Amino acid sequence: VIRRTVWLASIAVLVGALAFGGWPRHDAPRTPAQRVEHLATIVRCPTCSGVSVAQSEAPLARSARQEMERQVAAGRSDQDIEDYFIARYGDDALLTPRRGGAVRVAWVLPIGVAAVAVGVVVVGTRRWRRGDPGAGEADVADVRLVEEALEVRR
Amino acid sequence: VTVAGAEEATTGTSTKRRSRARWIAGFVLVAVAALVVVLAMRPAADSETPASPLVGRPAPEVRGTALDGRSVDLAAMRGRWVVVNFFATWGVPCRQEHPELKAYTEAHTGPQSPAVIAIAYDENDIASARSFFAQNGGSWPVVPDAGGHAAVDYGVRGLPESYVVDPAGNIAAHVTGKVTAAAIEAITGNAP
Repeated sequence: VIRRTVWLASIAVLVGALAFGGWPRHDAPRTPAQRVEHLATIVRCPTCSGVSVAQSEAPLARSARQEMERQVAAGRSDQDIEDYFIARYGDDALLTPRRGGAVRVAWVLPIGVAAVAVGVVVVGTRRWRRGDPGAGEADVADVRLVEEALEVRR
Repeated sequence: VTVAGAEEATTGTSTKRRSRARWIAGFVLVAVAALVVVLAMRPAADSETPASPLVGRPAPEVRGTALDGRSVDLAAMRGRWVVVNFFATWGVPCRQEHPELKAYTEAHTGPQSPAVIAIAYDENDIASARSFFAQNGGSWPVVPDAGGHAAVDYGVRGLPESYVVDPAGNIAAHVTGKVTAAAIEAITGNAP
């Protein structure tokens, strides 16, 4: 019983962690400076490769940061500002693609596959421990078959 | 049930299993091969300049006072082709494309002819831009880009970059790197 509980708890933690990672979060920072900082970490530096605006000192990254400050001060939402950069730099304007559509599938699919795999392992292990119930009890025909085989050997 | 029958059944089951395993292995092999082919044919990420999503859309606003004191407003230039050119004098390709832009503007001098607006991206480069134009010529307006707002608004990734705006005010083309007069003529369809 304890083992089963441990197994179930582990599966629940795994699935929960993956689902939490794949679900959109609404914990947007509140102060303007924190919002700019947050946006700078998710928007890709326009002129560099694979780094965020926050990580870059390139002139265009500084300009992008100033644009974020300007738009935050103008009262635009984070979503609006992300849309602004996507409209100008394309879908790869953000370092992490938006969680929706194909991206949601990319998160959910492995969770489903992992759950099925864990289920298969658990069921297989149980069967193996109990003995394969598919084999069942030997019926009369099976017993006769074994006896015939033994006689042939003799 | 006989021994022979059981053996036949066993042989049949293992043949089926083998066949299924072959099918699965074949499927995985084909999938992996397809993936390798797709990845191999894809250009490296660094060698790709993504197309501007602004092409075909209304050009962002360009408004300001040029270095020579002229007022510049892109919206007021509807009906003409306009090349919006982002540059800085410290960029070698920017200096190299200057004669091309000069030749282009000298070939189009009518009131409704195609025009060029230069945007000096680097605020610390303004004095240098002024002396560069004084030395090398060029009659088109040069507008300083305060804080790089225009560059970000146009989705500029590097210098020089040019956006060709059609008479309706939409971006018809985006040229990264050095632009040539011939390339602009090709985009504008040799507009007079």
